[in-house]
Amino acid sequence: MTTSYKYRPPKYYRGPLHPHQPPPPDDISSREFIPGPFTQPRLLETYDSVVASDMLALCYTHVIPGEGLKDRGDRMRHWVGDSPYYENRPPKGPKGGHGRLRPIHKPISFKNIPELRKAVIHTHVPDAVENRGYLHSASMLLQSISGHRAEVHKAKMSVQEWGAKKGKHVSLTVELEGEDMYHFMAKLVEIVMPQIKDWPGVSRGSGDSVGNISLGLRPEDLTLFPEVEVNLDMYPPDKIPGCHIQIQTSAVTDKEARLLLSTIGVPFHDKVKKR
Amino acid sequence: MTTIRHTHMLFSSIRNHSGKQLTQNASFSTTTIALARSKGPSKHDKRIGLLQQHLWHPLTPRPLRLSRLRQLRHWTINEAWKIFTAKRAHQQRLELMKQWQAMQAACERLRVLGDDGVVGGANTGRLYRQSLDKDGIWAGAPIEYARTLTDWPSKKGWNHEWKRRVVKARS
Repeated sequence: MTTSYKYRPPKYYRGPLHPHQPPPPDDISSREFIPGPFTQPRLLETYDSVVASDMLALCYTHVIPGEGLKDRGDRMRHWVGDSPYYENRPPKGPKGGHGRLRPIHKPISFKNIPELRKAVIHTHVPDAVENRGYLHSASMLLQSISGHRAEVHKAKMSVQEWGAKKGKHVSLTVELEGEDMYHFMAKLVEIVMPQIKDWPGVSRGSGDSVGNISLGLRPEDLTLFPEVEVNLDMYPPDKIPGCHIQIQTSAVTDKEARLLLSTIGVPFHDKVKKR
Repeated sequence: MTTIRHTHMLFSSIRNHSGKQLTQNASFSTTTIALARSKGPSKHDKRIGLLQQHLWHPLTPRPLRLSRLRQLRHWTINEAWKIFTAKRAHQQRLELMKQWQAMQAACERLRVLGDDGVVGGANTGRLYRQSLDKDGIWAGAPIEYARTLTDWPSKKGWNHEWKRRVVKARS
C-alpha cells in the first residue's frame, strides 16, 4: 500500500457544477491527453517558410486606409409589421441558398491566410451488410494509411434498391488534424497522386463553395499508399475499398482553397472527363 | 504504441481455421464422406480473421500515470515547449505582418502617383490598377513550384552512367 498522495483525475465528466472536475486536456493527468507532437511535418515547414508569404502576395487586395470595407448591412430579414407576434421573433436567413448564412469573405491579410485545417477520409462499404469482412478490411486499410482508428457509421434508413438496411454498419470515416493531417497530405500528394495512371487531376468543379475540396480515390489508387503497398497481401483483393477525401481549409471561397492546394501540389483539371 | 506480447494468441486462430486441424480420421468417423464433402471449402478468409484479431486485440495502453516529480518535470518541459511554439508563431506572424504592411504602403503610394511620377499627375493610379490585376492567378501555381522542401532529388539529376565497382575475387 502506498502512503503518498497521488492525484487521480475523475473517470467521467459529471457536469460543470460537480466539485470534482477533470484537468484540462493538455495536462498529462488528463484522460484526454494526447502526447506529441513528435515530428515536424515537412509540408508544414514548407507552408510556413514558402507558401504562406506567397499566398499573401497572390491574394492581396488593397483596402484604402481610412475608408475601410463596404458595409453590407444586416444580412438577416427581420419581421416588420404591426402584428404582435413579430415582436422578439428571430429574424429569417437571407433569401436563396436554403436560407443559410455564408461566411463573410474578408480580404486576405496576414491574419487570415488560407491554410489546411482537416482531412476527412470516408469510405462507403455497401457489401458490409452481407459480409462483415468487407468492413474490417476497409477499417484496417484506413487505419494503416491514416494512423487513426476509423469510426464506423450505421445506415440511417433502409433503401431496397441499394440493399441498405437501417442500423447496419456501412461506412467508415477518419478525421485527421494537425501533424497527422500534414503527413497524410504529404503522402497523398508526393507519393500517391503522381502514380495514378491516366488521371487528369482533381476536378476544378469540386468544392462546397465555402473552401472545402473533395476528391475520390479508386481501390487501385489506395494500394499506392506506401503502408498498403508494403503489405498488400494482408488485404483480400476484392475487399479493398475506394474512398473520398475531403480537404478542409480555412479559406472561405473555393478558388482560394484551390489556389492553396495547387501551391501544395494537388493537380487540378478544367474539363470534366469520364474516368 | 501497442505491442503484441502473446504471439500464440495470434497464431492459434490460424491453426483452428486451417483445414488440416479440422479433418477427421476416416476410421473413427461414422458419417459418410460424401456428406462432409458436399459443403465445399470454408468460405472464411484467413486474412479477414487476422485483420479482425489485430483490430480488436485488447492490449491497449492504459492512461499515463507519472509520479509526482516526473509529472512536475513533464509539466515544466510542456510549458517550455508551449512558450517556444508561441514565440515561433509570433515571429512568423510578425514577418507576414511586415510583408503585408510593405505591400500596403507600396499600393497606397502607387494609387496616388501619376505616370509622370507626380502625386495626382496624369493618368493617376495606372500602376496601382495594374498591380491589383488578378488575371491568371486563380489558375493555380505551376507544378514546378509545388514541391516540398527536400534534399532530394539532387540538382545534378540521376547518374545513369554509375556502375557498381567490380571487386575481383581473390584467387
